[in-house]
Amino acid sequence: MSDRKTWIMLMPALLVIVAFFIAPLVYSFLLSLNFFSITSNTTVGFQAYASILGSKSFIDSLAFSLTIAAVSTVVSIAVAIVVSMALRRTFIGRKLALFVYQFNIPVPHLVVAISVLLLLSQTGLVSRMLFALGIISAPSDFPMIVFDQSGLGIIIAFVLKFFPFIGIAVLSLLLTTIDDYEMQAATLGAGPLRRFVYVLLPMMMPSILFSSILVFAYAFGSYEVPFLLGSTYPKALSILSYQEFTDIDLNSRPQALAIANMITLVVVAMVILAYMQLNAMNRMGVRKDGEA
Amino acid sequence: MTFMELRSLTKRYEGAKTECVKAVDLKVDEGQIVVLLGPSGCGKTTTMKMIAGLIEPTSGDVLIEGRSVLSTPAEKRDVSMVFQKPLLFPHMTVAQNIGFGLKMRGVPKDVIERKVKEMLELVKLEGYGGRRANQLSGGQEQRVSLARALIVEPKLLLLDEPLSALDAELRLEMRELIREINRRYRITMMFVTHDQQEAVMLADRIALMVDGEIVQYDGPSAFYTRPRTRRVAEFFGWTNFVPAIQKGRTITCCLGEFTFPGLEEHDGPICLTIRPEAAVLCPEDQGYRAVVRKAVYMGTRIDYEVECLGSRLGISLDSERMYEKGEEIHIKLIPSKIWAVKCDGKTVCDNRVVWENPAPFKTTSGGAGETIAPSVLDPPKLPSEQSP
Repeated sequence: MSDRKTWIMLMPALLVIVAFFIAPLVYSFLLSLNFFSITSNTTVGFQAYASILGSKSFIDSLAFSLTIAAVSTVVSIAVAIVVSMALRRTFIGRKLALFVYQFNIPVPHLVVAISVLLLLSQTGLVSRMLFALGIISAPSDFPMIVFDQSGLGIIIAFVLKFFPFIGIAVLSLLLTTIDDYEMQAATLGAGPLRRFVYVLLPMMMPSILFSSILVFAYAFGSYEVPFLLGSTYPKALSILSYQEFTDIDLNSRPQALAIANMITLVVVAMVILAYMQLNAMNRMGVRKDGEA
Repeated sequence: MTFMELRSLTKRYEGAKTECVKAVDLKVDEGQIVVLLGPSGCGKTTTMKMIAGLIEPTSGDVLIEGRSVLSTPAEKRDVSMVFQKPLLFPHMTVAQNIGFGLKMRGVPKDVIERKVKEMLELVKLEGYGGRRANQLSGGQEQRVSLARALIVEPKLLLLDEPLSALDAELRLEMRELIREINRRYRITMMFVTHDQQEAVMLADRIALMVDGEIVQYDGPSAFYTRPRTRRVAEFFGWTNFVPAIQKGRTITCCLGEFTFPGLEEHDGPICLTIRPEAAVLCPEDQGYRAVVRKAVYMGTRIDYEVECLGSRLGISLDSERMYEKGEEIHIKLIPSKIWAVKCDGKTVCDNRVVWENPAPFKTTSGGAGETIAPSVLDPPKLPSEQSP
């Protein structure tokens, strides 16, 4: 196929990406520098960035969003590995287990967040059931899982959504060639734990890393889940950004966009780091599918 | 001395209608190379995996040095396995791959380094220790895989079609290497292949497996001289199967009517198997008349399909002259390359030694190794012509 034909075929997708992704990013960056100001403050520069970096609420929100994204990703990876390892074996009811495992992948994050809210809040179903059973003396005795400052409810909602997603990548690998490598390791004297540590895990890493980048980026920039399940302080960065953007003081707009750009910056930095790691693995001979 | 023994080893996979491996009995002597030969899907790899402890048998037992190892997990069986694919761990170097087994056994680093070096020398890959698997050729990968299995000095080395993905030259090289390793270390080996030539070149003994059963377990030459069933004969290149009827001690077929010394009494259909090399050219008045239907030049020999006595025979003659399609030739048959088996390809016949004694057929001079020609055979009596 000629280069011209290839470019013609790529053009629709490229146009959409440029028009709806790159152009808004550039526009958002320019706005964060106070270009096109509609207020009396027309000074162009990095004042908005300096302002947010000096703000405690931004630093707390950044730490909160990073923690939630990192913990959700790590816990999801761990759960995905354990469940996938169990599901690769043949057992009665495996098909049903597989269905349940993958069931919530198409369910929207919003629905999962509402489910967590209805189930695990202090006025939720679990709390009321425990109260009815006499296990707790009042619904308020139920631990604060939702709306708490640690973001436990948000993490639970993310993990529920993420682990099947990572798990599918891991399971598809476990069900193919990687099994042979494990058998090979067994005949060389490696017990189950050592097979996992020395063979399976390193071979699963590219798949895990690849899917983890996606879930981390989503968790870090997510709005609806922290909005429904998060506490009033610290707020997730996305909520902080939106609040600044909708503030009646229009001078807050550059800060709002600076926060949004910081989210993008962190995600892009994580993606670059992960890709560098993936490339290093590829150079070592580990492809994404785990094959040599 | 029996080193490894399989006793009625059976495997039936979940949901399968029949057993994949059916009550296999096999004894392997210490230091021998036993080749498990058979067509694809006959249960060879399953058998190997059961020996290695990677698959649990449905029933039966695996004994190594007289002790059942069924309850011993794969990692503790002291049985190494080389698979069809080299399966080098992609995140490790060649040296790390080779030293993996020793690392798992807690061997000190300096000892591992020394032994890895020795192994690299053995498989002729000195200087490759720092490379990754994706920097090696197919043959080199398989040699690393072999070194990785050998370094742990296993009691038993299982090789599951390790050469099938290599080109002809590399296969030859690897076969020699495996033989050399067997000679040098006296490691008992079981080698799986579907290639009968490979089996013959490597094996001290061959176990031919068909449909999950061992149909013949013998030295390599026996498969060419004394196949026990039609299926065995077919697998080893016996292309001609002449239907015959045995009544008492008399066999009747298109070649004539004859009897064998020591032939057990039997009534019913049997099969005479004739190797392609059993035919030799002879003068017109001494042999069977045959018409060439197809001729394929094979280098030192020429393979023909001829029409003879109303049957199509596959014969192989030397290539001094190539006969064309439609040409008439005369052939005689060498008795030592003819064998009788029961028609049922699955039933192991009672291995009647047709040609062990001299003059099994009526021959031109009555001695073993002579040829069969129509002039000395009685005219064939077909069953329908025989009187009740």
